[in-house]
Amino acid sequence: MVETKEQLKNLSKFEEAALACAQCGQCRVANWPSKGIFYSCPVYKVNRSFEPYNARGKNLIMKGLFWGHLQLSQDISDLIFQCTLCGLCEEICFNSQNENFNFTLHNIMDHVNTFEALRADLVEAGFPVESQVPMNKAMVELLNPYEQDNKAKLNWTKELDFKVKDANTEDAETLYFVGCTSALTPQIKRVAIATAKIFNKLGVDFSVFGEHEVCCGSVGMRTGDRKSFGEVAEQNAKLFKERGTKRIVTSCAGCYRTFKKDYGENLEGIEILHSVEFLNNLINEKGVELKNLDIKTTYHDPCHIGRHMGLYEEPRELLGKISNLTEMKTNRAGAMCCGAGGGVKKGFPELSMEMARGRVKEAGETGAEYLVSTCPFCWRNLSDAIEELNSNLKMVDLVELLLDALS
Amino acid sequence: MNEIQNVYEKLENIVGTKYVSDSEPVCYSYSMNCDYTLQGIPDIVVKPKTPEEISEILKVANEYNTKIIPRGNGADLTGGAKPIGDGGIVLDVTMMNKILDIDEKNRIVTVEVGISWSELCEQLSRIGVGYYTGSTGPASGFSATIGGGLSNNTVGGGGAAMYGAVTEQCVGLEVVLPTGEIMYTGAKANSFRDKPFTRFGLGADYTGIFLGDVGLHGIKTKASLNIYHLPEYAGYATYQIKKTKEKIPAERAAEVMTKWQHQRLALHDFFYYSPARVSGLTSRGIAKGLVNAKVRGGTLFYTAVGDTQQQLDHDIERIEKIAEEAEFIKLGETVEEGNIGKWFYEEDGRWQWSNDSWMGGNLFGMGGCVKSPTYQLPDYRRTYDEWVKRNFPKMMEMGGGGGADFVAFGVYPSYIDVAGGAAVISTIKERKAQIELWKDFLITQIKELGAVHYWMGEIIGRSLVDSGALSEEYYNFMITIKKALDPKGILSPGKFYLTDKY
Repeated sequence: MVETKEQLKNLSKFEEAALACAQCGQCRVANWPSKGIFYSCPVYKVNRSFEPYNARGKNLIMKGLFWGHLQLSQDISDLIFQCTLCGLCEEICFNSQNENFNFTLHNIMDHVNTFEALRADLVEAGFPVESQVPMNKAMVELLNPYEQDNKAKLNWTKELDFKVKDANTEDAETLYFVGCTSALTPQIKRVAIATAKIFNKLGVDFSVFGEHEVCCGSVGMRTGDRKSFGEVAEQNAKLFKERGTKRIVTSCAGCYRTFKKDYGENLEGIEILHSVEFLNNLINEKGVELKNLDIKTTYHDPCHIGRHMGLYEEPRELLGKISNLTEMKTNRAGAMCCGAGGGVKKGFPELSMEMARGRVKEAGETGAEYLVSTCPFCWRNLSDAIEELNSNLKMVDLVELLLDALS
Repeated sequence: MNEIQNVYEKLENIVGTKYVSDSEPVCYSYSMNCDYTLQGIPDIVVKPKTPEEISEILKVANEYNTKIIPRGNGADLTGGAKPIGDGGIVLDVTMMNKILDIDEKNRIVTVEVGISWSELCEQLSRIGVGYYTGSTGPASGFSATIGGGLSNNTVGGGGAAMYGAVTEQCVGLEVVLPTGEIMYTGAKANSFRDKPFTRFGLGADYTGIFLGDVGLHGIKTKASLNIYHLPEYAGYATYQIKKTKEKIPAERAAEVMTKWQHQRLALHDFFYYSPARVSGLTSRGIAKGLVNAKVRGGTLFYTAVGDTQQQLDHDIERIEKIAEEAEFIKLGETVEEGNIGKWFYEEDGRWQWSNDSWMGGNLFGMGGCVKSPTYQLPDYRRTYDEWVKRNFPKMMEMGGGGGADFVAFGVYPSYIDVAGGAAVISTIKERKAQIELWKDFLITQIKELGAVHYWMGEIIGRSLVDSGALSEEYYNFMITIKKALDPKGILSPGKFYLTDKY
């Protein structure tokens, strides 16, 4: 039998963080109104199930693995993967890296990274979530996790009345990295269309890779398939280098987080921006006038640009100019997750939908007409929940409203 | 099929497949509380949704003679909500988390016991004029449950100087007895009464035998608690207390705290931080206000509340006069100037002031919180210092240094909680030696200080017996009650060794 500790190649890099939990359980159900936290785990909030469905339980399993009391197993995998890696638990952990606590002993806990590392060890030990395997295989073989012909990634451009530069052959100041979800999901291609139209209106010199756009690898990274992630990351880094890419703008929160955080020094020298950040800067710099659409909106913070990257105010600044923005009870660092991330939508669709339903209900309580996000994957899950709940809310990406406000 | 599989199937029939598990990692994740090394892995974890399900589960446990351990959030520090040794069933009550009734006329809330203190207080704050529970649970109240708070007689989450321990607020319970019967205590035991309002009146205080019982006598399912309007006005100050030729800071603080408690003052909280604690906080950059104020020595802060500014001002004048007469040095008004009283009250410090003492990482905490007469505080300082001196070589053998310290805070009507214990830098390899050291610390507290501990989990309950602190008559009385309620000894067995004495 292989020693468990030898199997923890990835998690061992975070051993100190993985063992640092004091097991207080604040990551389960804490309510902290002055910090905008109302429940600290979206998964536990909806299922109130056993301990490993919140961070403390996962932390104790990690201790059991390091101490040799537990072995990596499919049972552990099934528990560890039922988490969206949203990072809300980090906001309520006094041993973690956040600014909420004054009385902390140390700040060495690192929930999202340790959980991802354990996922990688589980996959490498032969315990993946089965339904996620074809997705990661397709990511490498077809260059997208949706198991589609990558040629379809150019389809959305047919709906434009202007030509978009081909990043494979033409130079441009900005690479618009569309992302697989916007490019390949018929209902969500409007995000890519709106983004391109805004770029065109504002005179942004941009290009797209189209059928040669390689998945950023986020799904592989989140679901523990580091080998697949490594392969696409290498391809992307090579492609960007060959084409002399200086700036990447993406309208996908997942791609943004992955390029900016997970690629590390591989993308050194390339400016990476989320479209909302890029457009907010551009509109302010150029003094572009925006029409107030006189609609009531509420904003859902995607975990990948919010808690993981700290982009909270840029979308609000834009939305505040073009609509009447009302905040949900949980917002910014305390925002509830939409339920789609971390491979949960693929691996555990009902759990994912339960979280989305909760978030849509929360949005509905604001009285808003539009639920706005800046992540195509959040868009998809929340939109599914709106439909299922027969809610009056309209799901939109911020760029869709921005396009209207520029017209 | 072995017995535990039979038990599993029966539980599955009671609660449904989704709410019972015998998965190894799930059971492992219930093997510890907030204490770091006491460990007992259950065979089964079950999450019932109703008192009726709990009743059925207890009947199965009796039938198969299987031990059963009730658990709220598992936030206690001495092994109160985990099995002693491996095996048995952990019964997690956190599915039962609803607010059932808010009786504004009588100012009483009735809840299922699996709701957390932070969630309850958040929801109460949005009802009518805004309410809270007065004493807001333990310092782990962000996550600790009402049931756990009542089972451990908790204090520490703020409001204790005015309202006392949380058990003082309890006016009745719904309890499932170890043999499966479901009953109410308090006024609601009168079957003609619809709402609870007092704990007494129908015989002895039978609610009391389930309060502070660490799950020995029954499984609480519902609790009714007094609630209070959120205070309209609040004021705070923090003082620096230096050592004098005659007195250590703990002695000077105890004198002032005693005077405060002897007068009718609107003190909501008061906390004494020892010089070592202040030094620890400032050297690690914690409590930036204290760092800014360059505080040395101990500190004492108070929070006071009132329904009118006039009433508040009047009481603050009296509170501060006592501190001034003792020649305490008042720090500035803002948090940045060192007023941690303001931080405690306004920035939800009440549920995080003790966070850093819960350890984690390579620090092993030996919880030893006690309730004590206020005047005795200096004795704790001396005893802890002597204990550390005696045991320092052992601590070094375990891999590092260590110490023993406390924060003391006021509890209505006239005592303090000396919250703290000892800690050592160590690893899991040292488990056995750590636990021996912990027990030595507890027995020192019991024998040298006559300590009355806060928690009664595994290690403290047993230390009380092992130290010979419990008189024969008292201990026999405990056994008699336990045996009468739980003849097969299935509920929380091993605590105080009670079920071993059947």
